[in-house]
Amino acid sequence: MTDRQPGASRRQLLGLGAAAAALPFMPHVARAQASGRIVVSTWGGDYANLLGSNIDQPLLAPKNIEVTQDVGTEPARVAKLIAQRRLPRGNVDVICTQAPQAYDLNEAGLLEPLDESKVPNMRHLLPELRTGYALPHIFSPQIFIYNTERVQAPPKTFGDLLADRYKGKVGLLDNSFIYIVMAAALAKTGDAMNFDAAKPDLEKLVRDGNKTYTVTDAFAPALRSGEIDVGPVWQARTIFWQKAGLPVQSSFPTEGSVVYVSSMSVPKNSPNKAAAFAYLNAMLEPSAQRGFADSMGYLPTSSQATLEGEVARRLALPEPRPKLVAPDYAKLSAARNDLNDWWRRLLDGR
Amino acid sequence: MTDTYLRIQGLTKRFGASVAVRDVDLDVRQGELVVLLGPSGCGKTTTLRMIAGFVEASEGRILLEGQDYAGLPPYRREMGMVFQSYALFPHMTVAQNVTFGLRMRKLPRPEIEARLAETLDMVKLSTMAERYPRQLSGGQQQRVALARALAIRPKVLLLDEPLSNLDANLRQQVAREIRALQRAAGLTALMVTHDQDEAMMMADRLVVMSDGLVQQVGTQEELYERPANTFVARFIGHSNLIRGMLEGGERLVIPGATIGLAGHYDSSGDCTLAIRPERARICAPDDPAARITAKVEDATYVGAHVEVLLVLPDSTRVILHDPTDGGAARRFAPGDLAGIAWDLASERLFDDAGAPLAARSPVHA
Amino acid sequence: MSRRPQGLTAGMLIGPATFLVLGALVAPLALLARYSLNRYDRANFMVEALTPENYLRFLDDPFYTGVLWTTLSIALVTTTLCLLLGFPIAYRLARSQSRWKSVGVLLVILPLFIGSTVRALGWMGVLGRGGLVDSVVGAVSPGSSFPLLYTSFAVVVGILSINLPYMVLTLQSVIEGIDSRIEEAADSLGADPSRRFWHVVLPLALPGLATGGVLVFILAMNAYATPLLLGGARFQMMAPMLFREYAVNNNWPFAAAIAFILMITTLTLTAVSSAFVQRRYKAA
Repeated sequence: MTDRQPGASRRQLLGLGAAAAALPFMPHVARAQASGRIVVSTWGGDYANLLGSNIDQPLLAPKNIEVTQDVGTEPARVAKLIAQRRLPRGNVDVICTQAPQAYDLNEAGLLEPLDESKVPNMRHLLPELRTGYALPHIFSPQIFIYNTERVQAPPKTFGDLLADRYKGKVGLLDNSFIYIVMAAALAKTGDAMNFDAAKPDLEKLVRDGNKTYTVTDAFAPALRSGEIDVGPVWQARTIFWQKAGLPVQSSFPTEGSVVYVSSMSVPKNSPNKAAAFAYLNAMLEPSAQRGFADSMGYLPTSSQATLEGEVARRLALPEPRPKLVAPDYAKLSAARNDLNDWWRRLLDGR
Repeated sequence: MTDTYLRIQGLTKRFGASVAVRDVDLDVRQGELVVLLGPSGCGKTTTLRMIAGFVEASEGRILLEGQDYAGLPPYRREMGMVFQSYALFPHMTVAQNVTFGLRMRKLPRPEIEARLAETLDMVKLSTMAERYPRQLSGGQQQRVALARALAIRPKVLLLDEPLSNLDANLRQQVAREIRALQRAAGLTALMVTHDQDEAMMMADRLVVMSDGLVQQVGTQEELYERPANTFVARFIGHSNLIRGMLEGGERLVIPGATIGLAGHYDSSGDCTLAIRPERARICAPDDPAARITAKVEDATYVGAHVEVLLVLPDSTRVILHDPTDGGAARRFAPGDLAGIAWDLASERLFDDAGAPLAARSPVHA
Repeated sequence: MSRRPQGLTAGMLIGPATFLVLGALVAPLALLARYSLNRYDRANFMVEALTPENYLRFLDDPFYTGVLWTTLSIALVTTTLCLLLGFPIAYRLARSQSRWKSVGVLLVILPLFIGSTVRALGWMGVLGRGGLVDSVVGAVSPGSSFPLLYTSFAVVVGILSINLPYMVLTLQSVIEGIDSRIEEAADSLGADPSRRFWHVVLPLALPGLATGGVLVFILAMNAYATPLLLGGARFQMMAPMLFREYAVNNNWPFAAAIAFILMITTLTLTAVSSAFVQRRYKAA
């Protein structure tokens, strides 16, 4: 009995020491619990600013939820999430990623299932874009951008890009090549996920000396200088570059448009899930959705968020409304590594 | 001079508005060692570097055997240079250092070997041929530097403060060695130094420079006995300089006293009297030989002589060297009055511009 | 007895720094080495394993080894050019006594204040279609076009512009450490400028050349933004490929293996070259 007393106090000390040691590594956890704070892992720049001005301040501040942004590139943020997967409490409550990445994270068991009981506004989601693990935030259909000064007859289908009149003048964005493969497959077979059927067309495109760009920002100067005339990009890009004064227009493929979806999801080890769900719900509010359409040219994912005036005109889809094709992320994920390998070798030409 | 080997004419170097070397003229005979001597910043090193070709002359000619070298790059001048820092090639052995100039001249291998052996033998470094400079003592490095310059059999050997990086006790020995080598090889040499002992010991003739100007060219004896101006008088050896007014050709009036001069001068006005410490003696104040009386301030026994510090009535301090064998100094204690005496041969008088005045024996003598 | 406290003090002084180095450098490397032996799995990203397959995949495939060769050759070419161009600049700066010297040094340092991405974007404006070079060529001979962007030339120019300042600064300090009298000595012994350079300046600057060369070689081997932006999609070097494996494919084990192959190649060549230089320097 007498020698138990120091033992207990030593244990107490150890406990205190462990708590003190743990503190600096998860300040967000401690704060999120105490004061209704959440951490949103997001890209920086315009997107992060718009989250702040359209969601955080107008919709969450009145509910006493304070939002802290963890800004970084998607790979870095996803890497952090994967590294923390074994922790019972992570330090991220909402993570913004592209839809294919969200699929992978969910497959790895990292994401919290979502439904209307958690996020009531999910009932307004466009049905094509809906999943049970990540909520689409904004989206943009793939179109053919073209320089109006040099292209009189814009391409109508992906097959047109292979025509002699565009030979060497098609621009391809390396960072979204998988979507280009899908567009080619959609045109060729009606199934965007029939990748193998699309390969010959892309091989021809690449070998015909058409241009490939590693970064999106290199695309606009190339369109301006006449290095390229056309190319498959997101509609939002056309709108963005039109604002910058580039003489460009969008042409929608008759076979349909593969869509790019930017999504948000809640990690399973989010320390403040209730607030995270509230954040997702707020993100789907029409006012918040319109803000992104205004500034970035992306389309709202909520059917409630109707656009008006100048924005509605700029973002209008043609009539008849083109078919919008969301990728089958399971097939995409399964084929991605092989596709990437094939694409690298194709570009390399060795 | 008929047998002039190296002739320097009107050599001038300007750096922007300032003049580092002004209108230097010098004739050097074959086999002669001429030392450029002066305080730092006097232009002696710049003069040497112009002759070597490292510094481009602003004006003037450098004639070697009648050919003008002023426009030639240093590597065509055939002048061997020994640097103050030795500037040995640290990545080469002694042998490689010494043969560098020979290899640059693409001499045949046997000749290079022969000259290497001969030169190393000259500087007594034959056993050190495979060493690197960092493995040698300062004195040995110095000899390598000398050997390297000698090996090319230069038309002129240039020495830039060659002894200043050596220990004091080594300097005299090395100085003699250099002198002996230069004589043996019959080399014409120019050396720069700020140290007058070194200069006196080695030179055939000296060039005293100050403020970019040549003050005097001459042998040791000429400079010592007949300094061309007060600068040389003070710089070579030591001279006590006493400023005053020359009256009647044989009295120098200083505030509070009058000095009776040994000579008679056909001049008047402001003059400077120069008396060497070892050429005047101390005597009783009432001694008829005394030319002036002064107060003894201090007397220090330094071995060869007693150094006596005296103060003239006008507060000018004068140093005298009184011989320790039979000198009078030890009879004087600080505070005593003493007389100072000298004879005509030891008296130098300079006019207001610093030029020497010729003395005649006084009329009454 | 008096030895002990001394050792203790030294240990206490060196200890924190050692731990910092271990923590900041060695630990991540060890982790990376461990990752490179894991197996990639789509559902779990990474499965614990001890397999050489990531390394074998790289080494067995001419595509990947080809990218390594491209990277190596670009690094060697830029390092050589850095040496050739950097030396005269560094020499001029080091031996300059003009009051413009500090301006020159500043001009060399100034580009270092701008990130490599921004500088690559600048080169895109110069080399791209409709850019400076292209416009000049177009003006001189109308109708012709001279786009240099997305060529290995563009990558070499880009890396060169980034690495040259490092080379110049390294060499400048080394050359300033060579007593200028040594060069004068060579001069006075009859060495013309070119032979003075070969026999005296170059051997003495060799350690500096080696240091600068290793520095810019490592930088070039690991260049990311420049090959990505100036080389374009068809020009592949190791760092962008590594990043793609990690970021786009989530294949950390393979990315880790690529990182190690890149590192080992760089270290081996660096060690070989320094050993060579050291031997040369000692022998010389």
